Amino acid sequence: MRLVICAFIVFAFVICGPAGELRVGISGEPWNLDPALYTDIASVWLIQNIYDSLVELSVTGEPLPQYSLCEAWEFNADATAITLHLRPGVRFHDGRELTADDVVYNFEWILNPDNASPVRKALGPVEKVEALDPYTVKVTFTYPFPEALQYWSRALIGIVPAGSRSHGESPLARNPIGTGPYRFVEWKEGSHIVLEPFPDYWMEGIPPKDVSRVKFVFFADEATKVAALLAGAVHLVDWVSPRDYVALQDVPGIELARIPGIQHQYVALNLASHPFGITADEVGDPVAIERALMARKFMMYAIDREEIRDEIFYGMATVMYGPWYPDSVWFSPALRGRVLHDPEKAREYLERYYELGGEKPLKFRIIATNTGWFVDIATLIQAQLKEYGVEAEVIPLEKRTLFATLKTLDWEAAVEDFAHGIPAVLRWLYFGYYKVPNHNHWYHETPDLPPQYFPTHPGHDEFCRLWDRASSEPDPVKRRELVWKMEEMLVENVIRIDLMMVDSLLAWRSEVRFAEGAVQRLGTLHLKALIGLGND
Amino acid sequence: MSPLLRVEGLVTRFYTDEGVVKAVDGSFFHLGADEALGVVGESGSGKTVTALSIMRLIENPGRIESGRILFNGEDLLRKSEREMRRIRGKEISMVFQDSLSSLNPTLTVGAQIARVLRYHTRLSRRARWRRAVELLAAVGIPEPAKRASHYPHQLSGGMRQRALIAMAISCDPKLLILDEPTTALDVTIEAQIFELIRDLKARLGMGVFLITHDLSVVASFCQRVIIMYAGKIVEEADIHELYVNPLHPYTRGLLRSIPPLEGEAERLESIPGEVPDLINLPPGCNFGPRCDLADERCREVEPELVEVSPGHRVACLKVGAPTMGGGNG
Amino acid sequence: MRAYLVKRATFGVLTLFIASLLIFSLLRVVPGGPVDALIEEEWDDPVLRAQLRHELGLDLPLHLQYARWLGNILHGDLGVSIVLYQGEPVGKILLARLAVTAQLALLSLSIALLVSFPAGIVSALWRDRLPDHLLRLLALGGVSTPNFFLGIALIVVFGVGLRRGWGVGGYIPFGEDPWGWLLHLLLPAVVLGTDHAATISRMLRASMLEALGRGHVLTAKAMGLPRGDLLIRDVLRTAMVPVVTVIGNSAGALLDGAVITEVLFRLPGLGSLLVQGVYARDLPVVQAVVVVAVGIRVAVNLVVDLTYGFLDPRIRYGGNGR
Repeated sequence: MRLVICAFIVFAFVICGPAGELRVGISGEPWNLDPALYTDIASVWLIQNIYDSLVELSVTGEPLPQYSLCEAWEFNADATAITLHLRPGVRFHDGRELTADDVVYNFEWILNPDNASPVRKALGPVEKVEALDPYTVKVTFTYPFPEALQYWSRALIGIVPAGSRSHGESPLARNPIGTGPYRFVEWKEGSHIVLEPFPDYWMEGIPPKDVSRVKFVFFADEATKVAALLAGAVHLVDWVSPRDYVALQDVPGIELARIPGIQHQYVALNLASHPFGITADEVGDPVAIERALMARKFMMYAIDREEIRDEIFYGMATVMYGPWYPDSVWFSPALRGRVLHDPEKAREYLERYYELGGEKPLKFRIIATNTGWFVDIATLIQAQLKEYGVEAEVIPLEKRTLFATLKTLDWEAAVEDFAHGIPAVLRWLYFGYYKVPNHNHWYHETPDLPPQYFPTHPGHDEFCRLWDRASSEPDPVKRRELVWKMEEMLVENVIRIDLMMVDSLLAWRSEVRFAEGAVQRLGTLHLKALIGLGND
Repeated sequence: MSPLLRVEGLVTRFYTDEGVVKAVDGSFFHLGADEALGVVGESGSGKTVTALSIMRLIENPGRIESGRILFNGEDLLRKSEREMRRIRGKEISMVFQDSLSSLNPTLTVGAQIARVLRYHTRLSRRARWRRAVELLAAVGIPEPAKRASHYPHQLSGGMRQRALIAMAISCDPKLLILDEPTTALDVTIEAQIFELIRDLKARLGMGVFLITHDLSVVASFCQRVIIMYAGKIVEEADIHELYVNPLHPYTRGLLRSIPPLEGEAERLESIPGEVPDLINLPPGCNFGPRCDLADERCREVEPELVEVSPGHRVACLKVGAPTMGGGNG
Repeated sequence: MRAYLVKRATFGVLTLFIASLLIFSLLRVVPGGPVDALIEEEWDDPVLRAQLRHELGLDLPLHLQYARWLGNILHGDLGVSIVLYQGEPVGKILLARLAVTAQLALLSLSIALLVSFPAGIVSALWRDRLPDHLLRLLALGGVSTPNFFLGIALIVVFGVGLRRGWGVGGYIPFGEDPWGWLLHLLLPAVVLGTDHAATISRMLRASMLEALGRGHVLTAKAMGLPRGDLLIRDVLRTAMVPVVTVIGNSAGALLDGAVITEVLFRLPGLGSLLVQGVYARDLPVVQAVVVVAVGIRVAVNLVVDLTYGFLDPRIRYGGNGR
């Protein structure tokens, strides 16, 4: 009999885990737990719970002081400096109190080029950082940087104790020490990471008493992750696919939420080759430029975004009318609500393209990453374009191969996505369209790119001038107008075809309880929002 | 004295996808306790199947349809498999043709003999090994103790055959069946092997059933001979009688095809035609199509085995009844 | 025999060397590399790139890189992971993963043998009759069913349907919880084991049928030897050589790590490490895994060769007798 009881206990232990253990299922495995050295998404889930940010932003980009290390902050008049007021009484996991010196250390270590931090540039044009008193830090910029907080939500997702890194290396990668609600316990490669509650955390009631430990479990397969959620083997997951979301809708014990996402789906067009661009010898040739524009405009009106949204994302995405969120004040009202899918216009532009000497029939390749929904989107677009007699070939590529291909001229269209880690429109306009030396940007100017990458389109100089002005404009209203103008230029010249912003789809078991409204603001993997774990 | 072995009306058939093969179609013969009986015939004549039937080693798709096989008065066809296993290797032993494939390549020669002893005797392990070595010596293998630890592939063809014989006689069988024991060996070794068998037969007092396609081998060794053709016994006689007075046309054909040891090599004659398909046997006498004496009746009536003179039986319409003319034709 | 083994061992070392050369070069030819993995597009910077390339030793000429790497390996230093587990020594990661793969392989092989031997023997002995047809049908099914299908089916049944925690995968070390360890490895071992069982039983059946027709089986029967002894000493023993080849192949394949099953059941094994390493372009990890995997295969083959010698004296003593 005793044997039966023992077996039962072991069994129950195996199924349920220790009482109060919160299990979180995430896709992939973190690479690096140092907030200045991470480059992958899986690391973020862990970092945001082991450390705190200076200023926590909601999923829609609004600052949340109640969740931040800074109680308050203010820019100076022309946004060339910001003063941060730290919250007193914040402790690191090793017991020390967080002071301004720690914050200064964090800035300076990242800014030091010898440390090769991937997020150095995201700190912005920092000129100097000084501790005015133990709880006040002043950061001065070389030029106005009003979007500092948005950028830092990426560059400074965690504050580490002063001196905890050495020159060029960091033990924090595997042994993180932060101020967050949970501290690091162990990392079993290939399997899981365990965190335990940090009892001296500065937020009231966080972490909740009924959570004794948190286990982040790595999944390489989506189906298994969802199965684990259903079976109760995990309580939370990072995200679910649209199909799984729909399938989970009527399952008892599972809660779901749909919040605005940051995954921007678009079709990139190669502006330095035919048919969507011009070649080196065609620079300044108005016919060639017009022809390429016609091809791009055709694509703009031929693609049916609603169909893509409904077929592939089950309706759980927001169609985009241009390069930014349609509901944002930063999006040009002139572009909002315009007609996107217009077969007549599409045919007209296609005809014009042929008239101007475009190859008939229009043929090109669409490359797409072979994991996720990209190939599906490409295939659907291929089908949509067939009705116009246009032949698009879909080429699935492995992720890194695709990135490498984009740097060459050997592609015409690509289905890509971009996760807006920095919710700042100027950031996107810079990275997506301005001086970053990468594929298909409107303006290219770096010595290591082949001569084909050159300014090819009318208006690009003006775009660059607008950007320079906007980035240093302290007045938000004036800045907005400059941004709208840039957006309109991009849309008119069809530099890129924006499809939609995919919603963030969250699922968790009902035993898990979050603070009121917290899921809408922070999602489910910011465990600061977790207030309780019910009985299994 | 009743014979050691008496086979009555043995019918063995194989049920294949192409049809029913009448491998042995009604055999009658006997063998005395000290006798050496030779069975001669071409391949497919049914000699091996007869031997396997006696041993009850016929398996799917073959079946022993009917008949009696009396061994020491007991019908082997009525015995259980278990009883047969006690008889095989102990009372009746069989030595097969190809010694290399007949021996287990993964066991030493001594171990294989010892294995047989293990299941048929109560000897201790050490006694078994000793006996194995003795047996190897008895069959004329030099350095028997060393050879017992060798594997079959390390022995020559002749030695392997001797080892097989050693295994067969290890439990003093009453009947030893030999199926073409020397076909794979050269003539000098062949002679040695037969001398060995003769010697063992005399010493141990065994009946020997020798299967061969070679009449000359039979001549030197057997007392009586059976000639088989296409599943039937066509002639049976004492060896001397057979050589002097072969009656069945097939037998005469066989004798004509033996090169003489002395004298001029006359033209060797082979028997025209081919062995019939055992599934579709010709009507009437099986040998009919190849026989130069055959007539209408031969193609209608199957000849029975009939005693023509004491100890001499023939199955031929042209020769059978004593009233019919002597078969000199 | 000795000469034979030495020859095989030498070939093995040569194979390892060539494999290492191949993987080293291939990884550097493939588009994208660890620097691309470590630098996000957004913050791409020629200075940062150059810095990283230098740190990772990628700015050296190819043959120097190879020489350095080879030299380190010969000293037992497999390098440090540069993308997946930044900073961790590859040797440590590899060992942990190999342990898991080895345990899964052991369990899978056991299941495979437990299933395939009776099946193959029964199939051969009852050839063309009902048991044979049934078993062959099952074997065909086993070989044709893709692993991921069987795996997902089992997860749905045990994990979701019956709500067993171990049904959805994960790995528990033996030291922590022996029972849990077994349960968590059970389903993936079944998936892999049945796959290999199908192949082994088919080979066993064919080999046994061939052995059953051999002369010495008839001799053994003619000597009145009991069926059990006959089956083992005469039939199985001589049928084993091709079967051992297949088993060795299965063992090698299992030890290389079954990627799909590992990913599905969340087992931190060698196969998934290799795949993740390739996607992340973590050169030290991929190079080390390939070399180790090839090494394992070479070792397994050597063991199989040794087994041949043990099974068949003709190989052991060489030649066809005198």
